[in-house]
Amino acid sequence: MVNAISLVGRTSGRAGALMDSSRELTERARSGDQEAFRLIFERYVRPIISFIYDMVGQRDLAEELAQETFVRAYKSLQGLKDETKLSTWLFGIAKNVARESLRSRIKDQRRVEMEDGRVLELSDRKLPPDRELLDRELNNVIHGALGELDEDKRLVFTLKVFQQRSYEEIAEITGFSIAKLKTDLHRARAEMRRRIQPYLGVSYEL
Amino acid sequence: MNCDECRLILEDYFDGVLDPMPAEKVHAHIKTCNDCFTAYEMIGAEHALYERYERNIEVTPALWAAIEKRIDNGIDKRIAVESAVENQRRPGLLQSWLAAFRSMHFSPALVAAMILVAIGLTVVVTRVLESKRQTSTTVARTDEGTPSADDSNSGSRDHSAAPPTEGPGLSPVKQVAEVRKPTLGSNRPAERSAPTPAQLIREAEQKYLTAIAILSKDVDRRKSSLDPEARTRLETTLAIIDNTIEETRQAARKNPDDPIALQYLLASYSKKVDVLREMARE
Repeated sequence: MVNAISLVGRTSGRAGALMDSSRELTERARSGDQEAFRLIFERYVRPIISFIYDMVGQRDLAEELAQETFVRAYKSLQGLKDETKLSTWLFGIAKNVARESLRSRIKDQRRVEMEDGRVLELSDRKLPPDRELLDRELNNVIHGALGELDEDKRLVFTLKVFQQRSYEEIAEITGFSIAKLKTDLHRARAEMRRRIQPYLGVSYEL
Repeated sequence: MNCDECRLILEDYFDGVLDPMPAEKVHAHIKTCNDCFTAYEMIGAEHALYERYERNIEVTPALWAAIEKRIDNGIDKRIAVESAVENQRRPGLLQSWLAAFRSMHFSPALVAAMILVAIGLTVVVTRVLESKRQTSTTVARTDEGTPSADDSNSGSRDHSAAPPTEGPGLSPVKQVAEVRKPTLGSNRPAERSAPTPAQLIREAEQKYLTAIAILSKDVDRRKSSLDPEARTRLETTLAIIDNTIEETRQAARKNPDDPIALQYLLASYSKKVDVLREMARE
């Protein structure tokens, strides 16, 4: 609760700063203003770390890779051509960092191992009665289902559904064609839907 | 357009990436086809589930400290802007990006989202009142020591309030969905208890999330007409609200019996719905 309430107090500094444009912050950070870079970090750290976590499935690793992402971003700020695309650019770096980690970790193993994400057998009749537990189970199901997706599908699904990026942005971040990402997204949604179907309660075909 | 054609592009429609012509056809079709409208709503429900996905990741000060150390420079810890400045700037910024939506129309998605919110709030208020009434009735009956026939029927009026031990263990979402489905003829015994405030809050939260998912898609369709700067500002504003939602949600989960935490959580959802609704209406 302290966190939630203190958020109101913190907005004086943080939200005010957030209202600075990406262009302005980027220009300031480029010229060596580290306070501006800290504000960029504050603005984007949560979506970036969530995105990385969805990709690699482990919290500690996600934090470590988020750190790497922002360090790389700081070092290559000069390479950012369009400041209005700061967010897309950061996600592109995060994608590279996550993929490098996955490549070195997974090797010949196709499925990403998600921490505490044991794949639950879904059975309507076995759901525990407590809603808190159900929420936790739903989290586990989504988490486990993400880990079952292949890397490309997980990447596209996460960017579209969780990060709400446009197709054009996803294409920029991933380097995929629109046609490929649409196909991957459709298949990813179908796979995810199959896994969460028991939680939706109504069967339908798409 | 027939149902098969509609289903093929329904996800694209939901994502707001269809060209105007096919989008209009889907609009027209789902207005008249219950099955396809239900499918559209269910995509929204799916997204509402994804909205509930909690990663429980905390961004600790240690993360920035590690980055700061690695880029090998000191940071001036001063807090930059005072709230007064923020309050002075915010209306202007809001107006500037709202101005970009002047040409928007009142869409079916907006209507659907508003209806969902209205239904959600109505359900919550009704249940709060009903639970109070039931509590007082139970007390009265306990005093009299005579169970009435009304007890055995009351359950069919309120399926979402049922404890999972009663049925086949429906999930929360499924329970909400069950409320929307015709349930006449249900003759299950009333073993359920009145919903707790936390359950009611969860239900309201679910409705907000569904509404937000639908409204967000409506707004996303209009994003392409924004200039990059306005779009960045819009995303920043929504990011602030999302951060607030995330933090209040964590606080509410940690303190499920704290009415202030729950109030903050619902207030943050409400704020997001308000912002999205206002933009969609403009």
